[in-house]
Amino acid sequence: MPRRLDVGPGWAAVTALLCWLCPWRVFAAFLAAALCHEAGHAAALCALGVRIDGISLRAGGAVLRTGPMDYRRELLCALAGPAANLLALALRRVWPDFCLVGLGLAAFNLLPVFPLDGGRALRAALLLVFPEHAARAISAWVAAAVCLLLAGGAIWLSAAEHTGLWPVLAAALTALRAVGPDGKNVL
Amino acid sequence: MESPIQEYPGKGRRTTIPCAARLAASLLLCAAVLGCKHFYPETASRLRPWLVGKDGGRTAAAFSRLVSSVEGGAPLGRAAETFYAEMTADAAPS
Repeated sequence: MPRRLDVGPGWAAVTALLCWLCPWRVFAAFLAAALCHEAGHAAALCALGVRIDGISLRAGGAVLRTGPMDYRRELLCALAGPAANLLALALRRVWPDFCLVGLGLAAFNLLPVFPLDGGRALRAALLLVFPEHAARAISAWVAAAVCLLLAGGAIWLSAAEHTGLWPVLAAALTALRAVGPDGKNVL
Repeated sequence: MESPIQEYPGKGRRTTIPCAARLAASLLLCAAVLGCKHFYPETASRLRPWLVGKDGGRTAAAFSRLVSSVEGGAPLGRAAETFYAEMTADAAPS
C-alpha cells in the first residue's frame, strides 16, 4: 500500500537550503504559503469528490496523489492551488511576507508548463476541446516555448541586470519539472 | 514487513532506501543546516548576495512600484524591499 506521506531527500535538501539562506520570517512565510497552496488543491479535490491517496514531498515541491478524475475536474483542481494563494492576498496588510511569497508561488505554478498547475490546467482545457494527440502536442510545444523564453530571460536578468542567481534557479526548476516524470493522477 | 529489495523485471535487482532511513537522513540534514544557520551565520551572509544580486535592489524597487500602483498593493512592495534589504544586510561592500 502506498504511503500517505512520502518525503523525498530532494525536498529536505531544498527546504534546508531555503531555511539556511532566507531570514526566518521569510522561511515561515514560504512554508505557510506552500501549505495554503496545497490546502487549495485539497479543498477542491474534496469538493469535487476526488479521492486523495497521499502527498509526496519532492525537490520540485509537494505533489498530491489523487484518484482518477475527468478533465473538467482536473482543470478546476489544478487552478485551485494558485487561486488559494491569490485569495490569501486579502491578508496583505496583516502578513505581507506570506502574501508576497504566495504571489510568487502562484505566478510560478501558473506557468503553462506541465506538470506545473498552469500546464496541467492548459492541457486539461485543451483535452476538453481537441483530440488527445493534438492537445498533448500543443501543450508540449507551449511548455518548450515557455521554458526557452524563461531560460533566455533568466540569463539576461542574471548576466545583464545583475539580479543574482534566483532567475536562473527558477528557470532551471521549471525545466526540471517539465522534463521530469509525467505525473498521472497527481496534482 | 516490506522487503527493502524489490524486483524490477528486466532491470535486475535494485535496492531502495527504506522510508525511515530517508526520514532520518532528512532530519539529520535539517539539523545540520539549522546548526550552520545558528553557529556560522556569516557563511549564509556571504551567499545571499549571490542569490539576489548586487543590483537586485533595483528589481525589488521596480516590483514595489508596480504592485504599489495597484489598490492596496503597497504592503507587498514594502515587504519585497525589506526582503532584499535583509538578504544583503550583512554583505561585505564590493
